[in-house]
Amino acid sequence: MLNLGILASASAGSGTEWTQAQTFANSAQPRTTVNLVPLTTGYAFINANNSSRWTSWDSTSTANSQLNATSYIGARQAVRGSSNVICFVFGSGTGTAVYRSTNGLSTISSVRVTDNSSTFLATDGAGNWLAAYSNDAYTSADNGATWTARANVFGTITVGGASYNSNAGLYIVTGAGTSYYTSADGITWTLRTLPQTPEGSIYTIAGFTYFKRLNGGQLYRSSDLINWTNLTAIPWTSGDAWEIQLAGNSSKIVAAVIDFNSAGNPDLLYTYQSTDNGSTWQDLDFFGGTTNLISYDGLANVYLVGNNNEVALLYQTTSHQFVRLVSA
Amino acid sequence: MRFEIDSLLVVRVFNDGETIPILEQPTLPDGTPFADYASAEQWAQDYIAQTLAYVDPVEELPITEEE
Repeated sequence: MLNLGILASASAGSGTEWTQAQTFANSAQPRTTVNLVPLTTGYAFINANNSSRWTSWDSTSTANSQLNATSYIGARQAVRGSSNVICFVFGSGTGTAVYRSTNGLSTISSVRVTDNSSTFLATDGAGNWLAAYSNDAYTSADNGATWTARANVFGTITVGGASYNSNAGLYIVTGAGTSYYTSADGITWTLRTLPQTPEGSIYTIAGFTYFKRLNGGQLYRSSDLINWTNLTAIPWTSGDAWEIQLAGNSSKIVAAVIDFNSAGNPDLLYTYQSTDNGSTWQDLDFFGGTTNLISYDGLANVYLVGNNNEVALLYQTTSHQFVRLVSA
Repeated sequence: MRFEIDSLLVVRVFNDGETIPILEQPTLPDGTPFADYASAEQWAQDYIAQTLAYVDPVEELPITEEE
């Protein structure tokens, strides 16, 4: 176990300042395959080492600790719902299932076998959940405790992403092409057409849903999941934005833009912030490493996990600037 | 699977034996209204045929948790 403290050293850059406060040793690094999951006073993540236990990072004490004795290597799609419920997807093939915890991942149980590793979770934050995979789904109306099968609801697409937009009051499920589905209850769906083929994850932040185009060259936004706006004021171009991750709240969203080298590995990370839901962007500090994860804790802070010289770094936004969290 | 079309040309598709539709389609996916009953009917038939022809992607071998 590491005893981590705040160093608070500033990094140079042209944009908003980053301050380093915490790292994780290799054995405690967050993995790239799972979202950071907000806990009451910090985050949970899967370690990078072979044991891959759920680990918590407490934002008040800056300590991290193993939460559960079971290894969940490759856990993904972790989502926090209401009443401290966290669900995530773990396993592959016929061993894939939705796992659920009601106590911050200290105890975890398998609640729904989906038989498909490409299962995507979404919740409305009011106790209703969607687990979408292949062209089928499960829905839950009791905060993930029990699930009901919904066969064939996605017709001809293979699910590639799912989210819930509170402004529209709709779930959205995307596939590999321009076709996508929306639903108010996860049971009855409507087929719609995106203006462009999305690439990678879709993000819903504060009632706005975003998807990006090939190589990050374009970013689209919708608040009703019907009409989409091409955000033309993005500061990155298709040549330097191969992967974009978004996180934030109604006041600010942060884009982590990752460039890949010729070998296909993450090379450089650039970060930007927007205070008008993506209409305009401001340059944040250049970050010398690469990013694995970016997430919002649902309280006040956006967190970013980067990787610099194989040491995972955790960064935090405050109301006015980023604070980089680094261990002693 | 079966479908119904109401007087407003809203297509509803049902799984066999179910009364709640899995699809409620008021327009074509791009938002264009169905031109008439025949076009809505043709769209519904094509949609069901394509859905029934859907094949799950090949899955890898399972892995499970370890104590």
